[in-house]
Amino acid sequence: MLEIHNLRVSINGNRILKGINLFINAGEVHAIMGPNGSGKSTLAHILAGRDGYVVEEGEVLFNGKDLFALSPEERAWEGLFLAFQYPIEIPGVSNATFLKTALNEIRKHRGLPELDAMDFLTTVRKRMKLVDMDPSLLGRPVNEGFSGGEKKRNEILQMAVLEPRLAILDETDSGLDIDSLKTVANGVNSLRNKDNAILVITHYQRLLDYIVPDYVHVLFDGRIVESGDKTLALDLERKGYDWIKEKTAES
Amino acid sequence: MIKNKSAETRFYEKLLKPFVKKQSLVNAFQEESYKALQQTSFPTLKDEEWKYTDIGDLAIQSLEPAVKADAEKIRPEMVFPYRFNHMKSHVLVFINGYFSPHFSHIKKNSNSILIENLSEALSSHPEIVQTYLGKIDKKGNDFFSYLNGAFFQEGVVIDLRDNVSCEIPIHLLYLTVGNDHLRYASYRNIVILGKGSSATLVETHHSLNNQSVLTNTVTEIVTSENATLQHHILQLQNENSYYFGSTNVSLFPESHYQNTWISLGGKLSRNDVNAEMQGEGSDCQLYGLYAGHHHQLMDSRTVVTHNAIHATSNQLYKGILNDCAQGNFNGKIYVSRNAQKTEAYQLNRNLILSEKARVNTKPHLKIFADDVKCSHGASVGQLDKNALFYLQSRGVGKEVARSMLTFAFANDVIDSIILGSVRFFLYKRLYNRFGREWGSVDDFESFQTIRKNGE
Repeated sequence: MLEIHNLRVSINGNRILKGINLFINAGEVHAIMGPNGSGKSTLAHILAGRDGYVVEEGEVLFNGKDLFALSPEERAWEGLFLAFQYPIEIPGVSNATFLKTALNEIRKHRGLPELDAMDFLTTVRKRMKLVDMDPSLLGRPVNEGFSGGEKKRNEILQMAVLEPRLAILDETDSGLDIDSLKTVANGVNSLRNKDNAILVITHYQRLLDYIVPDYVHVLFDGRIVESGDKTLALDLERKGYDWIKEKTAES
Repeated sequence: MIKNKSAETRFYEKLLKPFVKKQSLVNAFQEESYKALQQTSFPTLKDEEWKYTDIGDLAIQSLEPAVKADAEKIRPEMVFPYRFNHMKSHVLVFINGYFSPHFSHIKKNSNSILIENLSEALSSHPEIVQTYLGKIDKKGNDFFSYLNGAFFQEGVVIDLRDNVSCEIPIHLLYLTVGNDHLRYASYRNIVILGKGSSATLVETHHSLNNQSVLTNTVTEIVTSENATLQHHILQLQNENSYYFGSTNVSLFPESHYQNTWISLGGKLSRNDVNAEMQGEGSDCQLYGLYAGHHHQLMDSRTVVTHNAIHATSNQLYKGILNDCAQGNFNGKIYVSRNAQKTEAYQLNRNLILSEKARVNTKPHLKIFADDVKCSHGASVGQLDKNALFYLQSRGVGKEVARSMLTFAFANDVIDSIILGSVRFFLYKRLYNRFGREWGSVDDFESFQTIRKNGE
């Protein structure tokens, strides 16, 4: 589904990603872990299409298509979704209007009929239960005045409504208490199936207790320096990132 | 300043011909205004109040009096689209400065509510006109105010006795029909709300063709003790029109006045709101939205004068400028020495959507009292790039995302309009102005309902 080949990316002349290779198939859950500043969020943003980055080398194929030839909205139409670490507040646009517009744009590009207001509300209310979200948040402006937990739930709600093929969760656990973390993780898990894939980006192992990955990769200084199964995350939790740093320095 | 007398005279001399004598009280006022007008030059960029509003191309033209024949050509189906057809209201239709009784519909009122066109009111209630004409509009030394005073043709007189509420809104619908000449359409309105009375007044300005007309309106309002007036003005004329309007309000104790000014139309529009907080505990809320494109010039001016203690005022004006449009905001708050415990706020925010669009903003605060809460601010910016990316990353196309965010910027001003039918009418205009549709108006209404009910 996603193939990243030797991806090298810089921002303002600073090389951030220094040759990433990553392959994700349908039905898989991958986790990328790494210390602060290792390039995790840069990878998430460049996949979603944020500008300001320069791709110096390499390519990314999504469903066989050149990802960098697509605009951010075209990537969403293809089924890519990024749950933001810091969801954006949009005063003046209600959550309902926002979600319905997004859903219908995506449905249009999938050849599905657009939903009217009533059908949309039925769908979205069902999904809100999944992430235990207060229904009143639907009528409020997007993320405005939401608590940290409400913002993260709102991201997963969008994922539930838009049904992406590949969801990238960028530090979705940050700022969540343990109950919210479980709720959010349960929401994500209930959306897992054999046709979609999830890429979890996280600093801590904590989230991976609830969203159990098939593969864990360690990103350090712009490179994936270690890959393994879920036990790698536990090793990192126990030994910290210094172990990786030393190992990288030796090689 | 060198006076170019001939240019001014040429501008209005043709209006003198049909200068029919009305009743003596009006006549005296008009003559006085005419004298003052003769002493007044065209405003130029050198005048502080007109620094960014160039009327140069207008000043070389010559106004023609509107003729009744233009108004008589108008058929009902031409007027129909501009009425709020789902809203029960008193409707007074004016075409090119003439009142159209057959398009108007003033529902039967008790003696405690008077709603009449000015000519009618002059014979039925001359005392009201005599008491208030020219008494609230104290701008002075303003060319277009004197022009109106000298040559006003029609208008409305609204008078509510104490403790009555006008149950349905009053809609003043002004239509213009231009031709090869620059027609002059002018109105003088007097709105008097008795103690404890309340009303909602909606004024809408539309063009029936694409030709240029100059509209010149002066409205004088008194809100007596505990009275409440909701006042919405929508300027939706064609982009060849000129508009010079001023609304002047005198607020007595514990009275409330809210004004929402929406400007989408006109080649050049200038709107003044002057509020005098005369009574203790009075409250004034002013909202404005000017959304210009092409070569439109939109000028908004407010003056809120606090002369009494414990009064509150709030101003929120927003501009959205695209293409080569220009928006001006010039807002003043004066707090006099005896107006202690005043709360007065003013905010002007502007969104620039193109390279060549321009905004001049001048918030102004003068305080002579020492125990007050006041603030003012202004901003000029572009669409939030992070918000755009967020919307796009959810599959919302770039153009739709831009349109959504533009709409969102305007939303709090639009929400200040308390009449659903008027908001609904406006949404459709704004969809056209802000780019392609991104949701049907029906959705908008139902989502608004969700928001209001907090469902």
